[in-house]
Amino acid sequence: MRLQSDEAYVSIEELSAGYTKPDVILGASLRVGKGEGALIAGPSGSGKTTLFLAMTGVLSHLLEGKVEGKASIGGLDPLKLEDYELLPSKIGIVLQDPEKQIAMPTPIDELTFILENFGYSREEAEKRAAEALKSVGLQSKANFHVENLSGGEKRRLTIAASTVHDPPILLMDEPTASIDPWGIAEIRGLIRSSLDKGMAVLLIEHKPVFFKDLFKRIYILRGGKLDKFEEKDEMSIRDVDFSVKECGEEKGKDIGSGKRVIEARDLAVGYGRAILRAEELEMREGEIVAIVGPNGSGKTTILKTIAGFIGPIEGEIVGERRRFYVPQFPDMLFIKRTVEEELRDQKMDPRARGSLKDLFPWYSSLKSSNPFRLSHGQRRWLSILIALGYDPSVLLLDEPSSGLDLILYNKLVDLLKRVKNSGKSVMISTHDPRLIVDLADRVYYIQDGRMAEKGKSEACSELYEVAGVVR
Amino acid sequence: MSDKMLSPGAGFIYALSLTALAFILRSEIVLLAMVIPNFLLSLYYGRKKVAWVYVLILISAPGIFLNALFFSNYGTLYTTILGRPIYSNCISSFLIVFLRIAVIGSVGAFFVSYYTPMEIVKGLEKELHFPKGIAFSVAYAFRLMPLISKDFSEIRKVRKQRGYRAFPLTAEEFITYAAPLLRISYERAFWTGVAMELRGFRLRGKRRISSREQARFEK
Repeated sequence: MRLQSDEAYVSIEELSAGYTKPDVILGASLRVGKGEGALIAGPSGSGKTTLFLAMTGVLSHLLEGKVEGKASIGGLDPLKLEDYELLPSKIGIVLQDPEKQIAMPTPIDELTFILENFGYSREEAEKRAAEALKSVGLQSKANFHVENLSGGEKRRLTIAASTVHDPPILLMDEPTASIDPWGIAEIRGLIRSSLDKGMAVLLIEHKPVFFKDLFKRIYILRGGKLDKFEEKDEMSIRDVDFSVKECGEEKGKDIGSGKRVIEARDLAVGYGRAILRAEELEMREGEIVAIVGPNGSGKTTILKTIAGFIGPIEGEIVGERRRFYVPQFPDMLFIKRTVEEELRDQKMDPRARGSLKDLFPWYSSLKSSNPFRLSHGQRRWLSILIALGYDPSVLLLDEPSSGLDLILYNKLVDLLKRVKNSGKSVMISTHDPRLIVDLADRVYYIQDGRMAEKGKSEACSELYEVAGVVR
Repeated sequence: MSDKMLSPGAGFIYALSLTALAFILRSEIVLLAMVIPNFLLSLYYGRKKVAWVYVLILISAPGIFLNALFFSNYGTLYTTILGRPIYSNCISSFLIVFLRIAVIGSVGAFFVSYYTPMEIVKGLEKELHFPKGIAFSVAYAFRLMPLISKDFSEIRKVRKQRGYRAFPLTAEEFITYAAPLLRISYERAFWTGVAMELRGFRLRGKRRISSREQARFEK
């Protein structure tokens, strides 16, 4: 089915949708034509993903949700089953987490599998898949197991998977949810080249700050309503991050005056072989230190080494023994059946345990809830409180701001400031420039397998620059 | 399709047959004879990838023994443990159930380590004419296994840090282990399912590319 240049490539009209009844999205309308892009922003829980699932027909045909209104993508009506089945040939998709989109063991298998779905013979599919891998620089890793690819390489594989069949439309649902500034730059490149090729691009994103310069049309989804965003309203967007943080001036090295709680020299960490080396690592009482670097650079590995989960390959870490590691997936920390039981765990320090419920803003309404049923932000919050219950001297947080909207992000900053003011030290692995500005006293920056201290302002600016954000 | 000595379809039938036999046979020696080659082959092809399967089998041993102790402790006196008599049927029941689980685990581990998920999809679809949904589900389950193994190892370490046992021994501990594992795996499987759906999985086997598309590709 050929699309006419004046035809809307993506359009929805008065679309309402939900899981048991159409109450999550309320009468949303938008239109994207050839070579046009639209950005939909909104806070956590506003229904962004529901909108994506509804307009592509997944909600009604796969998840048995309820969808009312009209949708048209590439001249097809995804709400009708016969058109829904043909829809994939018109769209390329990029979803939140590269880890959750790859189904096959090797990059070449992944792309071949997709092309075979569209009817290509094995030989044709393999030839075309190889070309697509070359275009994203993965030709030398075509037969590697995907578990041996770095985070960045997995992301490039999902980009190749979204365009390997040359679709006229690109749909993206929060593609930056778990990626670093280097990945954001790649997603920006994909959007730009897709628009240049005349494709229609629809991006759903809770961090529009990274993309707003690429789109003329921006929508805000809030409370189920989709509104066109006007630049003059910028200051009123409380819960959506549209602004680039000011990285500030460099103030010179401030080592702090508290006692050393972590100290290491000539450290090498990794699983079996060294993936990260640091000549010097130091942390003082009441200090917040950020470990900054791309996905797969060893940030988590060094945190786990400090936590004592794995031994260093070279060197030794000395200092305070009471360290607690909070994983990137907060679910891994939960053991009890309710929030209340988690915050009253007898294994915790009795004094620290006493004040925990006051630190959980939703305690009265959610104390009987199963921790796994909380929202992502609440689960992350609970995992940090569980850690505080063990009264650690050093709190190790792995990507604490990932997946948080602006409101929850600001709450997290306040919480960690309170933790710091209580004399505890916090080490954060992150690639979020906001955390550097808002919280970090010092920054260790990872580059080419080496970690060294860097100025806050310089690190923050570098992350924005890498992402290609217009400031 | 595959340069393996045993095609994926034949491998699947082999694994399925041995699993069925494990339920039927009651000879410890025969069951052990089935475990050993599969155990060695799975370690040869899979090494670390399947080691966790054997860890889980070993974890199940105390539970199986307790079960045998409560429900099958009769026959001739074999020995005493902590003053409690252990009869011959308790030992043989324990061995049979444990070896049955070991047969199923080891043949599954061999299957997972010998074939890639892509080979399994092709084998089940083309050789055995399985519906594509089942073939893909089986293949994807094997893709998930190393990820679950990684999650399991992380959960162990995090629990230890909270002052809990690193390995589950009681039913309640097992549930608290399984809950995060299932939740994380479900989320992964859900989004992979959505991605595959929107990448044309429903079209698989139904549609041939048009001559126009073919021409564009040739260009």
